[in-house]
Amino acid sequence: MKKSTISRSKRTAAKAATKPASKPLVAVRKAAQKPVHATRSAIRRAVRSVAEERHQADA
Amino acid sequence: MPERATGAATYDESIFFNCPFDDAYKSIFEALVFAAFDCGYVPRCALEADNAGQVRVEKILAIIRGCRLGVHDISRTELDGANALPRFNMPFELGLFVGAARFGDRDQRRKICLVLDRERYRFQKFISDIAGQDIREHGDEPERAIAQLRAWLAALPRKDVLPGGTAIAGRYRAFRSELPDILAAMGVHPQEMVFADYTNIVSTWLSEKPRSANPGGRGGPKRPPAA
Repeated sequence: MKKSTISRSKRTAAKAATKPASKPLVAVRKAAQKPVHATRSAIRRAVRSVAEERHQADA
Repeated sequence: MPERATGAATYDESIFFNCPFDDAYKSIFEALVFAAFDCGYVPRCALEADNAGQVRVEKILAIIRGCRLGVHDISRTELDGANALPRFNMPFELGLFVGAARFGDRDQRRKICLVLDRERYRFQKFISDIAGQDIREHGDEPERAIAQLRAWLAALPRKDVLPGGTAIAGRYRAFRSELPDILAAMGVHPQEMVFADYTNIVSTWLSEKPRSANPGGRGGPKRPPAA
């Protein structure tokens, strides 16, 4: 078998140039489709902090 | 009979809310959503469909299929300010619900609904075909709407005792007083709050503040369906 005269690094670069752009991760695609809602843990933190502030103000 | 434990809502625990979503009705709608959670149910409505790529009526049909209970407010009979035309969505969705209850399978035939209007017998002038349904008046007052919803739910066969309308309204007032600060802590402007935000906040607030009297031994409010 005839040995290629193109170096390994050049072959890799050429392959990358012809390769279609990779698809984004499924999780990223799904996140982009979903509206941004606060997570339950963020809501819980907000509810607790307000309750604590009210409690301190009442005390 | 709703299970009183936190977790995913079942068919029997889900209430389909068919009502106006405009600013004029917002105070009643948000009060009803709170009361539904406080009674251990999960409110669902067409606003869930807003961000999905699904055809709107298909999403509404899927929600109706998933809810044994339905609350239909037919009070919005005024002509639209911009087009001078009436809105037909509420009577249409009421018809879908009643049709599912009439022609659906065994589970669907167990559906029951409450019809709300601002005056009790006003419907006879514009949709007399619904005579015989459970029709109650809220007088455009959020706390009266809470009382009517609670009374309707309390009449269903159940093992536990629901809190009274006055108690629910009191908790709702406490919730409303904290809501602006909760939104600020979340970094959400009140105008940006969508239905999913509101239902998540209500169910979280209720789970953080269980009633001192707990007659039914309920484990906590249900979680809203995932967006």
